[in-house]
Amino acid sequence: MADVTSSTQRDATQRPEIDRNAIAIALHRRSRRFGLFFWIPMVWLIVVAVACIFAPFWGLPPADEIDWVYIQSPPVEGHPLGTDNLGRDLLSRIVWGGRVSLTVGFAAPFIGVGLGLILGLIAGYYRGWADEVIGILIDAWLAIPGLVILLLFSVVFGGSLFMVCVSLGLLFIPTAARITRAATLNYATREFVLAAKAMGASDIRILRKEVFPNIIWPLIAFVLIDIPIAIVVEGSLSFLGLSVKAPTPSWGGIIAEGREVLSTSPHIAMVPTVVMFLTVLSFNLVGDAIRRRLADVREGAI
Amino acid sequence: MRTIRLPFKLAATTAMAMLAGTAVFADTHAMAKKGGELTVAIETDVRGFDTVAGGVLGQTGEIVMRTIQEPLLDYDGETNEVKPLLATEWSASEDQKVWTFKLREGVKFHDGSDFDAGDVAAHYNRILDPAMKSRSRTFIASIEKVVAVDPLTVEFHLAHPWQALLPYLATTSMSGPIPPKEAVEADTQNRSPVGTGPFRFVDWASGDRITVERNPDYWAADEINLDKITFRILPDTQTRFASLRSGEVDVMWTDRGPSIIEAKTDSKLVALESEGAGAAVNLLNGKKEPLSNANLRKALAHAWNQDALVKISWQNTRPAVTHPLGPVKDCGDANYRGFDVAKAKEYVQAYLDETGKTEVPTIVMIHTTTPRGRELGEIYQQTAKAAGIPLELQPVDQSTLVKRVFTNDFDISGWRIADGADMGPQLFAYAMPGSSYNLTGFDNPELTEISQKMRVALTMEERLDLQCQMVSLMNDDGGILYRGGGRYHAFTTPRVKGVPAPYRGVVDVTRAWIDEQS
Amino acid sequence: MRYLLYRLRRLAIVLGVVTFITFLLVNVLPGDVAYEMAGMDSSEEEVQAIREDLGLDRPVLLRYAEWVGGVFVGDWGTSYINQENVWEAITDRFPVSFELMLLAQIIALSLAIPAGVASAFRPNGRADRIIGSLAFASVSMPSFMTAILLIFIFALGFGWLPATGYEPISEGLWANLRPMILPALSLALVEWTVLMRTLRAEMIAVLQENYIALARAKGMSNMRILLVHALRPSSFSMITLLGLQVARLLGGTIIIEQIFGIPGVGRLLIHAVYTRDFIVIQGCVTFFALAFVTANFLVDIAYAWLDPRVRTGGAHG
Repeated sequence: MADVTSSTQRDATQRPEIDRNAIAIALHRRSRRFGLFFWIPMVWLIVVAVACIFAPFWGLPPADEIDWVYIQSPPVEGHPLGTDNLGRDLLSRIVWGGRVSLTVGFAAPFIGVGLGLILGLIAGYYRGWADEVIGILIDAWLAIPGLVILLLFSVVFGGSLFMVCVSLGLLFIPTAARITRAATLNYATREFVLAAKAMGASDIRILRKEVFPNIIWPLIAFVLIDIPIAIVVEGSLSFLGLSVKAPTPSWGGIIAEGREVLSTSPHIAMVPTVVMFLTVLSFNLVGDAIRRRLADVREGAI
Repeated sequence: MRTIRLPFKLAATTAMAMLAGTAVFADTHAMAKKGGELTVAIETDVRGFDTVAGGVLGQTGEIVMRTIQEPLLDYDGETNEVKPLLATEWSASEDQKVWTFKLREGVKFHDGSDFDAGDVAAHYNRILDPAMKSRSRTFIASIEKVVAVDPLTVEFHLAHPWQALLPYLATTSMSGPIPPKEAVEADTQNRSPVGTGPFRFVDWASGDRITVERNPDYWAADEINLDKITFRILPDTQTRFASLRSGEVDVMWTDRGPSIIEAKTDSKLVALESEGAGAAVNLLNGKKEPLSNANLRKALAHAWNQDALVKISWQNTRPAVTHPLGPVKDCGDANYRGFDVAKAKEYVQAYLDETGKTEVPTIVMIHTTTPRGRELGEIYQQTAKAAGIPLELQPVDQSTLVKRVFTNDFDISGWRIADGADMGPQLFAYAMPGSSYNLTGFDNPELTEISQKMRVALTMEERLDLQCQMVSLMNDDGGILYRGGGRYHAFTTPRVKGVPAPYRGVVDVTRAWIDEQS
Repeated sequence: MRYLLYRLRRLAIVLGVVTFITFLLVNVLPGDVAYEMAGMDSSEEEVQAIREDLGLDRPVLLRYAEWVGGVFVGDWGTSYINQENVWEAITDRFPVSFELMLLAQIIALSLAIPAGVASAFRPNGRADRIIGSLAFASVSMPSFMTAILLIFIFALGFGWLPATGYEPISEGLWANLRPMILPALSLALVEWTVLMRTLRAEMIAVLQENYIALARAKGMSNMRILLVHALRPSSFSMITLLGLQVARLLGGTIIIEQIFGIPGVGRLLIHAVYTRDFIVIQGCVTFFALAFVTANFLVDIAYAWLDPRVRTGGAHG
């Protein structure tokens, strides 16, 4: 479906009408430029990433340390964002929670795309029964709602950060595999691949040298879309209490804890909500801009 | 044989503290309006209404059970006296080992059959049959058998004098309410219960709602006002509270501090509150390394800060306690090991000296994934750290927690000692070596001896004194740490009248009525 | 026709795989329904007895075979925990979840179609950019937070809509719809963006087709071109998506039903997971898969009906 749209678009740009070409060129130029919609979110992401990666160096109180003097307090000296209902520093929890969210946000799509890539390559290159089996497995995987899979996995395997990343990553396999398969099908019958085969190159070598470089770009674009999705889904899991275990903070978890005091101390739930919202939004915007850029590069290369 | 009515009176303080402004009992039943429907939000679903298959009813299950089935006696939480319900009068033999009950005449079950002594005897004998594996059996095992003398007379034969009999016959959890013998035999009682109660069971959609409608043939039909009650099962506290505030439900039970505080300050809601027995506790597993070491248990006992948890997690909606007996008995400080980091460190040192270790091994604490479980773990972890004891938290869900506690697969766990009209049978089960309920591994000959004396005490005073002594010995060991006593909260919208304070946490809505004017 | 038969066969295999995977997963769940049933004061032997009673000690494959056999004769088993008939439990609640999903899709479509058409009309124009930003914003908000805020504002703040609950349609249409609005909206606010983007992309392509240029040349109004000539050919991908979204929506309803206290299949499932009620979990997941597969099959049919090329060519990804 995705390839259908892009091919029709490509057809459209090749149409020999002058005014349309002018529009296309203008569109192209505009989309090539990284505007404010790229730079502002990028700056925010850098700020968040730096804050989270270097969390131990900011002199913040530990995220699980209870300040018995300030319980559920609005911002005060020493707690710039106040404290939560257990008297823990909210800023520190959000920063440390961001480490969890960002780790999951990056690791899960890479795990999913990595596994999906392998399955998709096998299915698209070898066709036949391998294709059929992988297709059925992927259809089956798609037929169970993602959250149900996560629910069962988190109950079975418990709440370690590693397991959360892996089980979330599994959700991205079907789409990644389908994209890879479609692209592999497309390239596996091209002349340069056939030529390589004729020259006796091994399957692994053909996949690595000829096919892989051609399908890597749509997959990178796919990873960019998945990062914000992974962050949101991790939030939902934390919200249900099924993500990383206490007292490790995560954004969804802080929101769930703050929900109880939403009307008396709204800042506890609202600050992490805003941070999470802005971060996910920024990933979406930056991802979208890079994706367009990649699409251009790709089309130029072909 | 002397006839005693209302023999069970406790000299202690009143067990009920009404909130200023609730004034529920100021409205008399004469003002009650007939008709109307009530929606009650409860926290958990019922597993079933059958005594054996349904397991034990939680507080929320009892709220439903109360409307459908009735026990022999009624317990007045305000005066701590039992009152007649399905039994009208009772007497005990001189040695207090045979109790005879006269049953109310003309009472019918919802299916039209007569309520008689045969139903009572069949019900209790079924629980007491070890082959049935009823969860209620442990606690009423002092009853040897129940005999139907004639249709309206039933005898309870006890193994020894047992002061807890009357309170236990008044309980609305599983052993109390009497089902019809025929329905139990037909195995229909679990999902479509039949009883003698003021409301008839209509429908139960698991996990969603239970509906009951007025029983026009109820033996005290004129006391009943509502046409229909819907119990909505809303596990999420926030959802329950939002439903109450926006008027989708009329009555709500909760134990979460923030919600209680917020509801109390809401002028559009009526707050109900009562004191009770029981306690939320931490169990320290003395049956297994490393907590089999008495010094380490004591260190952890001193490292536990009940006051902080009561303040932060319960937000002072529950009292800090030193024993689970509730307001009926004041045991003083009962030898309780309070929060004291210095003492905790001393015991840690003693532990290290004794075992020759250089540091305390990591101790695993399991808690539920609920907010209350999480807060418990996080607070204990912090205070234990201050005393030099590393705690590792493992959040698990309720069923896993129960499994791990009963299979001895934990070091520390959150737990609850349920409120009972009489705490004796529970304390006995917790304290006796060999009991499946002895979860912390108490094995103290002195405690065993006092427990056995408590069980057969001839007066209530003596029984309660011995219970205090039991608690003192348990507290000294440090196996059970308290984290808030029994105090119960329920909230209603102002249009609901005639709901008494939630005795033992059970909201009794059977006599409620709706007054749209207010 | 042959294509549809091929699809049907494939769907049957998929269902088999789904149920088997679930059966394996559910059977390695920690925690044990036998403990849940035996209760607190039971010994290890009693738990073992219950396990034997339920047949839980027999090999997984055997139990799976039995379960499948049961499903074919309409016996989905009864809940271990409260003896409710699983098939009845699901069919009682499914209409509620279905209504919620249907409303969510209606709201999502009624947002996505005008927005998609408006942004496709002038790609990268002002309307397109505003709609694009709104779409990014609304997909960046987790649905649980949307739900909480909607309750906070519209139920507790203004008091316009109820915070929770469900009324059967027998209580009247409005009584039935009223408590469904906020939950459906919480779901729709995430779903509409995907539909909108797909429609937009397709429509941009369609608007560059020759026949549209012809219509323009004939002096047809933009409105007419967009809505009459461009919308139908642009909606194929969106329709495929509607089918794929069923799985996402089913997942989404789990959290939403929990927050809004709606008695749907999602809540049944969560409750079953917490109590380790294997047979109910198994039933729910099977039902979800069945619903998903059926929805996609219907979409395939609708697709074939809308786009004659598929009927003949059979080109499909």
